[in-house]
Amino acid sequence: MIVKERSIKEAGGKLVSIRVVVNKDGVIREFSITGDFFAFPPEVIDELCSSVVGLNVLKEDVVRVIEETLTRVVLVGVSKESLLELINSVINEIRESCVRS
Amino acid sequence: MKLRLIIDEGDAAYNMALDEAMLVLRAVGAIPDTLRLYVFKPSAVTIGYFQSLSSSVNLDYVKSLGIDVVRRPTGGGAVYHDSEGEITYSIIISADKVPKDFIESFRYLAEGVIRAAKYLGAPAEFVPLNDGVIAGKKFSGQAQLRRLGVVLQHGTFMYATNLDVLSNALLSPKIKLVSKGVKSIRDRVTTISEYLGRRVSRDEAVKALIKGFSDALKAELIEGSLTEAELVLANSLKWKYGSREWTYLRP
Repeated sequence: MIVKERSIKEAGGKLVSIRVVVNKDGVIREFSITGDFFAFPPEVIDELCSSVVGLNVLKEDVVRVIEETLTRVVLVGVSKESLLELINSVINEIRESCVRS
Repeated sequence: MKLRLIIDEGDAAYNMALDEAMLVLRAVGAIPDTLRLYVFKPSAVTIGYFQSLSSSVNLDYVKSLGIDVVRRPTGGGAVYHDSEGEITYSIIISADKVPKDFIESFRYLAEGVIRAAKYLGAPAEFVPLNDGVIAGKKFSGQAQLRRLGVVLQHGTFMYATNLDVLSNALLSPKIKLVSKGVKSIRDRVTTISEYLGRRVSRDEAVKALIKGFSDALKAELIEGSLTEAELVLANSLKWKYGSREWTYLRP
């Protein structure tokens, strides 16, 4: 298993932490977004997290799936761009780890 | 505008369940727009819907003091509700009566808290996204949820909270303290009593809040009582807020 966690907090914004757990083949086992931000409606974030579990980071465009789900939510405390950038960097790091191992 | 006023107290699961019940019942038109002022008994920590429990709360510490922990239906951060020093408000109101923009609506609905602090003599101001601040230190935080054309905003009013307990109970990740330019949570919070240098009583705080909200929202507050539907629905939602699954939703 590969576990990656990373957080951001923009000036005047809220804390956002991403945690991704992937098996050795690149399949996402866990995906969570936590922090003190706001999302309207909040359940879209839960939907987003569960929708990527089972996807393979080596074969599928996970960030694209997330980007599409994010069109249905308004975030307060973090911009969608920053959140996607954070997720993208975590996924890229995981891909590199998968390829190396 | 007219607002039903409810003065209430209860445990953390009841308080969150009732806020959610009122949101639903307002949406179907079963209850009027309402301001509820309430106290957490026993004292409790509430955490935001998206927060990780173990990274926001010192669980061993709160357990040792018998402080409840509950996850809110709303986003935002962890809050300490001191039975003897904090009053929580919740406003359940039709969405067409508040600004559409989320931050503007936080500000609009928090104005009652800001005015209440001013009436008591503290120069409070709203600082976006969702803080009520006196001389740079937070005394009030707001959180919000919208469903079916109804806004639920709840928030805190720390008139005499024990800030040592607060700063031991809540955990703040380094990244957050650094960005606020402080060393610990204790450095960035205050209460009305601390600012004034005298102990403000609960009665004074409640009176100030009633005047604050009625002036800020230009509302006539009519004291009422909870309907049977609210109590029944709140009771059936209590299982969720009291459950381990909900509290540990994000461990």
